Amino acid sequence: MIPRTDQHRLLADAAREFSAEHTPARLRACRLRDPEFDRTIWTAIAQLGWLGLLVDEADGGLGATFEDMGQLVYAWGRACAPEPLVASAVLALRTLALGDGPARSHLLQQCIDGSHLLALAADSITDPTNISVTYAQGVLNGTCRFVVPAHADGYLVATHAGVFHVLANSSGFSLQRETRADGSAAAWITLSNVAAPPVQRVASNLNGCLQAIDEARILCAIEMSGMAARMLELTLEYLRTREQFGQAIGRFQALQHRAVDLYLAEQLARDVTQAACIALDTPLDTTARHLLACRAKARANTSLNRIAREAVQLHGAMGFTDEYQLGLYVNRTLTLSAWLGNTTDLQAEYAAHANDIEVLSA
Amino acid sequence: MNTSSTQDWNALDDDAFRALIRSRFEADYPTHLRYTSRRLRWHENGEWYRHMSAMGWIAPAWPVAHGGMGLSPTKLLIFHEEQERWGIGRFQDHGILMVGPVLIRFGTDAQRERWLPHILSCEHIWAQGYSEPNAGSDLASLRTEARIEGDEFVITGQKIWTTLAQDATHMFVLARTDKQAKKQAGISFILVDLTSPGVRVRPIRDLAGHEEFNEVFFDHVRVPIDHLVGPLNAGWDVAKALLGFERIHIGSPKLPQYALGILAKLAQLRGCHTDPVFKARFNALRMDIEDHCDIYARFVEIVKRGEPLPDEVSVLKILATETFQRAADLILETAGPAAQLHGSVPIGDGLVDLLGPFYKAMPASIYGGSNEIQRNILAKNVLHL
Repeated sequence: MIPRTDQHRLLADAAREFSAEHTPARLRACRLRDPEFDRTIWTAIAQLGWLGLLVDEADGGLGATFEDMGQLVYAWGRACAPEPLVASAVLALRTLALGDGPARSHLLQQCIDGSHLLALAADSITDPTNISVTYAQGVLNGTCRFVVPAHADGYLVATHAGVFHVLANSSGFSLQRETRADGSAAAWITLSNVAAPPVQRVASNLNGCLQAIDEARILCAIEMSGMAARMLELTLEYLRTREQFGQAIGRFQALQHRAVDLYLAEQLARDVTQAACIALDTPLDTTARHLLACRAKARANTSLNRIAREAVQLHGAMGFTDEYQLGLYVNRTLTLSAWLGNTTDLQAEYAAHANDIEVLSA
Repeated sequence: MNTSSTQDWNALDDDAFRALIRSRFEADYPTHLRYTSRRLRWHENGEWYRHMSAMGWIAPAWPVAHGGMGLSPTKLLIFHEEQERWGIGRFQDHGILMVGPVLIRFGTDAQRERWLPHILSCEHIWAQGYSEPNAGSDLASLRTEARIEGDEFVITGQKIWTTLAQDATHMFVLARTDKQAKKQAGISFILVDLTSPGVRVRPIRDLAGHEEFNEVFFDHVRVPIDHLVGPLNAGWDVAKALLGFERIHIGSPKLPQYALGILAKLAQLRGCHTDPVFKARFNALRMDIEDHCDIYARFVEIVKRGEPLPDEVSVLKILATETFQRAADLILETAGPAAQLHGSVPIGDGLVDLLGPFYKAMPASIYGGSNEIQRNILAKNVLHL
């Protein structure tokens, strides 16, 4: 993200300063732990007001823009920080904010102040209409996989009858932890006759949930473009300092041109995701938002995967060690590219919803 | 009707300006010259450009005081976008793009009075004399020599890859005027009348079968010394100063979009537009082109703010040309056996020039600074490797 206003710059600087504390040692310590991030940091983020950026002032949030949020998320990506900013403060929180049910207001407050960590459970996230959890006679039944953050305080469960809030300690609720490539966790949750009285209803339909998924795709793509920038930076530093055959290996033209190709991928990811993020602050119809989201996330996937693989190759064996920080980014790349739609899924979605193109010929 | 002296184009709002330009192009530009797959020759599009000249539209970027339209950067972009949108082919416009701006910036009053009116009237068509057989990417190693004899230069040497030199009346030549100086330092910028004795132009046929570029030989060609632009031996700086914001056009998404349009039409005609494999490939390409529009938009903003384009602009040229080539390749792949046929060929109920986009795309990564040179620039000046 390139900050365009003083407000953006302030947020970007604050986020960069804040995330400077995320040393590779802390990131590593978080892996394979439950939860896989620091709850104290989550609370600190809440105290800075960042969790309420995308919530209207009338609902107790800051009513800021997606472009503001993008500044934070980009810095988060650059630092490879483990707190689930996009999964919780965009995907789940926006589903909640866009809802119309009785559980909405008091939950929003708890989420914004950091006391309640929320996750969205919407199976088949690339095709949310194909949802397997059912709601009948006040109870929820079914399973849902790939839920992040895995160890939340509460879950928003999407069903064809709307979205319901379920506490992690509800009777009939269980989860199995699955470890993701980057050491974080995804939950495979099972609901057997979990009580969901009307008061726990967050939304009466899935429209808000679908919108939140597209918004989260774009913010996830922003996070990925931050990761791309950092991986490129690490690689360039390495090319400038690593010497072989009596000179910095970055002097070799074969490697220079490969570095330029990574730069092209990084620039594309940055500009495409930034344009999509800025567009979220303008009036968009559902299809236009969906197309933007699919294209932005697909681009972030393609660019980041290219950069991750080449960055390792250009670092040589050093790049394949767990000790060097590049590996954290590579594993996060694998995780995020498969989350909220991989490239093939998103391209197919785009094709299914895009208009015919204008044929430029006489 | 010469409107340029009376009309303040920049006072119009952008949409009104666009509508005005568009309606004029749509009404007046000959349909059979739209979206041609090769550069048109002067006998084909000269009439259109003389019409533009008569309207006062031939030099959109020049200041009004020198006979141009004096367009602001934003208006100028709109003008180019509308030209591209309607598929209006360029002529050999180096007089407008290069010689005029060079003379306005570096020339004397006498030179401006002498040359500019002929450029505006299209009487003089200018070719660019830069590349030589042994000076392509390494242009500064050029060897064409201009020796001073009294009040004349005597030019001997050879230029090559000169676009449409066979239609040109004049050429601006980079020639060596000091053989002792190091590379860039001993070069001068000289205007040459191609009808002078000792000039020989030989067209070179290209892969597509067209004759767009040429070799130009100079055998003791005598040129008055006042045809020198800028100081003696300062030609390199004169030429470099003109690498202005035109560089953005070479990275425009229009050519890939044009190829994508042909691809869509071809798929319809062949009935393979619903084939899942085709759809997946077509769509991936389409998304790449949309992505290119987003990065292009960032550089357009720089131009609109009136700021110089940074070295990063090389990114656009690489992306545009490589995407254009992928689109052209997908046209051939989609056409099946018909892709072996030259020219416009029947496909279903229509006619498509299948090889046209391929031949147009192929040299795009070579001309205007090859993509390898663009990568060198990025590696050195942007990535600091």
